[in-house]
Amino acid sequence: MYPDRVCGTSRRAPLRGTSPTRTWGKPAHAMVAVANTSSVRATPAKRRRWRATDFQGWLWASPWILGFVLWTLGPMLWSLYLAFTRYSIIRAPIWVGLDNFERAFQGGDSLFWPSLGRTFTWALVMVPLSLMGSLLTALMLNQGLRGTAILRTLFFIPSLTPAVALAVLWRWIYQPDFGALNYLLREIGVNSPPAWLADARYAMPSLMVMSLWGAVGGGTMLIFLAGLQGISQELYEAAEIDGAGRLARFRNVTLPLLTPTIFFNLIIGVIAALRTFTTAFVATGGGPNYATWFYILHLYQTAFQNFELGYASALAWIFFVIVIGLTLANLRLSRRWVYYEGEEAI
Amino acid sequence: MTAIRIEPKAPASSEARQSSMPIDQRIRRFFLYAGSVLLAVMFSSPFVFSVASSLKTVAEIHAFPPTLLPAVAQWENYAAVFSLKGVPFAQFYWNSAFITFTSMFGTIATAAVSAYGFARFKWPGRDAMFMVLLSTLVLPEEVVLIPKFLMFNNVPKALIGKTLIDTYWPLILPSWFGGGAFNVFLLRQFFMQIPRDFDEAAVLDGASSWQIFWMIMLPLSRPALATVAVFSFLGQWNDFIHPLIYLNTSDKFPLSLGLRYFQQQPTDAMEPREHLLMAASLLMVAPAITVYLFAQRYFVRGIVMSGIKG
Amino acid sequence: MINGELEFGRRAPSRRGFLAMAMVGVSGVLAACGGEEAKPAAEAPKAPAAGAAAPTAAAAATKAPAAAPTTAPAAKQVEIHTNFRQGGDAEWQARLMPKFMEKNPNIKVVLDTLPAEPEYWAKVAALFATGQAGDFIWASNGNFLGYAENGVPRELDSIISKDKYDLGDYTKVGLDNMRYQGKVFGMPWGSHCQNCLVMYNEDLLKEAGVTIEQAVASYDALYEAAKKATKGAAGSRTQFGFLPAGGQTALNCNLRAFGGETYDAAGKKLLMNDPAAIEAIKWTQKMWKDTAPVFGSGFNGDELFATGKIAMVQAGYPNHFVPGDKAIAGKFKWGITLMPKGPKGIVGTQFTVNGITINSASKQPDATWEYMKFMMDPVTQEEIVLNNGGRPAARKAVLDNPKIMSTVTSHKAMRPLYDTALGWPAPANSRWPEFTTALDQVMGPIWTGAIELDPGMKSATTKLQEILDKPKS
Repeated sequence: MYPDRVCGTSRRAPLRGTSPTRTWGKPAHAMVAVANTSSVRATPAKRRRWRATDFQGWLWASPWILGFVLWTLGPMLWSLYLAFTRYSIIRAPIWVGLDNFERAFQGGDSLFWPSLGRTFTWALVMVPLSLMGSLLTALMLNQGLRGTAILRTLFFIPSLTPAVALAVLWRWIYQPDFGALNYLLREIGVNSPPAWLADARYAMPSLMVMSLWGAVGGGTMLIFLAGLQGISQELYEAAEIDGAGRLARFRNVTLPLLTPTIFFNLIIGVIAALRTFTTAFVATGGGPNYATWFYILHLYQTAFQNFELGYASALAWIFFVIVIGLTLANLRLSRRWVYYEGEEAI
Repeated sequence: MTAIRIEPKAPASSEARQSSMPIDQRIRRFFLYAGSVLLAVMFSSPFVFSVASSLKTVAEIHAFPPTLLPAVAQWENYAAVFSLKGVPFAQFYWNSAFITFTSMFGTIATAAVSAYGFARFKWPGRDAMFMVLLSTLVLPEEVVLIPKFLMFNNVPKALIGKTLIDTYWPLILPSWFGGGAFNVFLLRQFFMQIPRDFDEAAVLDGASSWQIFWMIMLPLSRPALATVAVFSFLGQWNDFIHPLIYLNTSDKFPLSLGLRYFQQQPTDAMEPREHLLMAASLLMVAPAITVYLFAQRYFVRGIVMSGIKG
Repeated sequence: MINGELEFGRRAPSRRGFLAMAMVGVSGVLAACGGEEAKPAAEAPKAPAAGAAAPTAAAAATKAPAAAPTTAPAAKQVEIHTNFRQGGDAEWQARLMPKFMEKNPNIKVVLDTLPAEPEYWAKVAALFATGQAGDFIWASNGNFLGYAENGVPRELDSIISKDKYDLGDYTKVGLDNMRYQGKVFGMPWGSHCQNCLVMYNEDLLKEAGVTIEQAVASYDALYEAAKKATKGAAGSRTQFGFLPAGGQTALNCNLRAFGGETYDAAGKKLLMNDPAAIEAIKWTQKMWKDTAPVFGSGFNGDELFATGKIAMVQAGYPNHFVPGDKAIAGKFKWGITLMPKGPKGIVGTQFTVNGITINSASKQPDATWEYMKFMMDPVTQEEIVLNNGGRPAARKAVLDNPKIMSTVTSHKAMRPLYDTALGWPAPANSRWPEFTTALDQVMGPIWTGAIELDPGMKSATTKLQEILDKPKS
């Protein structure tokens, strides 16, 4: 790989004035490595008694720790308990053991597998598309064109819009009888343009386009932009000297060095895609005929429309296990393709 | 010399280079410009459409064939949004602002404090705790949604005899306890890059850890703090599901819930209001765009320097 | 910034940093106490004040059925909270409450508006579970049964007999809609027969060469008239002839006109596959496909009517007001009449009661009862109905009110049906909100023609029967 050959060593020279064991520039994913080889001239983490500074450290970190226990750990345990009960809000929970999980996996809930399927389809399509789209826009914005700031803002506006407003706007565009899209289609000669959000075959793709429009220029693009700007020009220049064309430079310099960023965006992107709710809730209500009935929407309806909070908690935990599983799998796989500059992969 | 370039190259040098650019590079530049302008137009067209729609009359909204521009721009639509009977839009605005800003300050303050604890001190269990922090990044909110709702009801009732449902506490309180793992993580990465030399110099001068935090860490972290501020602003401003679940009284609704008033059937208050929906939506997006414009520079810089991208 | 140039102690930002922390601190303090106070005009619902003794004394002093002023200045001040859904109902409550409080100075009424259905039901349930629901809860047939089964409303028979309240002029079907296990659990504060009306644009019909009388002669005639008033081929229509209404209530009106029914009286078995029901569904499908905008595509039927794009709309009581004269503003002549009689010889109805109930956990049941009587009083009712603050109560004194009869066109059209209307069928497991959502989901493809009727009905029936078969939640 170029970086190795170019630099001669596998580490970049540190910035003047910073400590040689600085930790910035390391991938997000390698934070564990960072934690273990921290820039503190640390004593080995053997068991030892708490010193005054230890207590101080704990005190400083305590807001987050307390918050974790209160808003995350506690509720998670409570929801685990509720997952084994039948609970209708008004009456107290009744223990039912594994009934809820049986119901979900053995067909007692006819929307369980379909909603899971829809959600996975959505993620499988949206994640690659939005990653590629964001990367392309970031590349474009990184070319040093004039007016980058304006372009960047224009691209970012869709992701600033609240989901409710977005959904309403696109419902208008997609409206089959009066909407702008079908009007344009009719003008160019399409006789019976589809009903988009009102047609079970087109509802999902229509939502995808709507979401992509909002996702491509947003936070993912910014993170890619930051990643691109973190690649030193030196490498490109060296590659050019070696005779690499644009495409080769992209393939051998940009892409490998960008893999940690891609990985980070991938993890976050997969989780966000699986959690789709507001878009479907406002734009289609889960229809038509459950075509856009995503998992979290199913959870919400189960909890707050059908008053089945116990079963909804079981759904939530099943979801959690799936997400953790996917993330761990991604982590494992990442060793094969993510290149950490100057770091051993974990 | 390895230099981190935050912004694209300065115009002056690129111009100088442009005048001496070979033809094929010029053509490439042209296509790039054209491509990005085209993309920009594509991206902003729905937005332009919504601005144009916000200025239409009721009849024009349903006109067929649909028109892009209104015949006469109805600027009064924006005023009408505020004076609509039965929809306290100004109230919604204030509510959103209140919730968002109190959360934002809480997030910045407590995330910085917690990040400092993770970055600059080594205490037993710190690394394990940090792993836990990272794993909460992947935790879907929905898993804890219901119990949090129940917790905000039952626990306060037991402690002080009152429930916290239908107040702003469930929306604001979590921000004051670290404000989310993402922000703590971002700031922690950033803090870890600040050279220890400063700390050591300060300690020699007799500074306490508190003073180090105030006088060194915070001032040097402005990009990261700005990033956290913007992320938390956007997150709270557009948050929909939490107000939906926790708030009951319509007077307390923030804009994200208030917009739905325009979506639902015009209540029997006799005035059609669909044409006001676009204006209301734009009024809601405007502050977010403003905040983003302001903080743009810090944004990218903050992410670059924190090493979060790799 | 990350370079060796900074020195400790020489940085101006330390002052800025201090300011930042000060701001944070101040806002923290503000948040702590501002959480409750800084919201202008917002009412935080509190638990009802204690004091059960005083309202009982005050209520005992009044024996007349109508709301009577209390004359006990020494009576203790009590506060009751009312829950209404957001919309015209709630907006009008704000005007009525002061009148009640004038007559009953010791009772303070506080209105807690909640979002409209379907969130309304979940909200009330959650509030009830957390002990925060109002003393007075609006509960329409949509989830009245669900509430009754879970003990949310208080049983009213004993209060009615103790107060010797006269139920003489209440209609039977009105009270029956508010019964659970034979006992009355709510008062029929608002009532109507659902989507049994047609709101029509006279000018568009004239243009199509048909009169409204011809159109509502029969269901087939309605279809023919609607087709005449529809302009443009499918997929590029510019004008629509007829807009059916969605949801279980509207569908059932059509089903009943043909002699069908959604599910049986026990609420267990789906009856939508019976021949009569299938006929009604076929008709509805024809209407959606040939004369209406695309089902479920996010249009606003009332506004389309107001802008002269639809000739006829399957309407209900509120349509006198919505879109109403104000929105139409004289652009065309319009009116409201009954839907045609179906093959069964009747106009399809599903009598709906917007009930009002007393929270079983309320600590001021008697004060709440006073407010309920005020709400049911014919004088109050007249004001409510004329201003679209609610539907007429199911009592003759209101239904036959001459002013209402002459002013509200939808009332005049609907009045004859009040005496013969068929009631509200509820699923045995009280999952009506779930059922009606599912109904729109599964019938959607049939209405849009995406799926043929037979396979469509098969999958629809499976889904809907499944919901009926579920146990109570």
